Amino acid sequence: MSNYLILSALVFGIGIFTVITRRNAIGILLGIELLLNAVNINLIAFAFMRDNAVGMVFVLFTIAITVAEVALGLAIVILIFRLKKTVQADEVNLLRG
Amino acid sequence: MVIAALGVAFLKNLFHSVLALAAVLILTAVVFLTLQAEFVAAVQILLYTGGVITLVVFAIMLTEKLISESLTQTNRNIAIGLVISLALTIFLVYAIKQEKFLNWGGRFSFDTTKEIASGFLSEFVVPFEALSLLLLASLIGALVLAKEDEHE
Repeated sequence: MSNYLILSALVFGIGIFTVITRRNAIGILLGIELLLNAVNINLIAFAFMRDNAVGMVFVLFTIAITVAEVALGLAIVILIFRLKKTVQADEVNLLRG
Repeated sequence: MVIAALGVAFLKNLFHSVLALAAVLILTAVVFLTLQAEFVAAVQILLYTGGVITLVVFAIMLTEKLISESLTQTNRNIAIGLVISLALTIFLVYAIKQEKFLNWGGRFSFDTTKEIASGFLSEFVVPFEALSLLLLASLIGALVLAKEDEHE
């Protein structure tokens, strides 16, 4: 049981690392995918432990919301690319005064 | 799976990184199968590896001039990121090791797919409908954002 949780913790750590260190905005989105996957593993593991299907229902919600989030994120990335000709997150400073 | 996840974080070429992410997602589906969540595993493969990976690959092709062009991807805040993620991971693993988890039955006492369906349609029907609204809104939002501006 705790093996699943440790696996999920490792994936979560790697995801955090990806989000913090990637310069490319698409890379940051990939990191967010990793984070959500870790959470999904955790939810399924606990659903298994508690013999309860609510965890799985939650996982399906998470998956659907992730898909929506990725679609919007990529749309924003493409828009920024069109405006600034770059996808590097630290070169996007349109809101700087 | 951890190796593939490390690939997502460290590979120089973003396209290879996406392929590593696909590996992570498929392996996650396998983990779901070992936890007897067949329906969720199928949804995982269909939606994530079918939908999300395709979307991301398209976005990379649109934004990157050359796929083989690999700029420096990971030199921003690398020390801070390493410290934060290592600290978090060590803390989580330590906390998991501390906890005694009660033994589970070994398998579910019900048909999981059936139980998920009745959960969606009875207890969670309002979030389910809200979710469909969210999907519609994000679809329209993505279209509006990514559409070419004809007026300017």
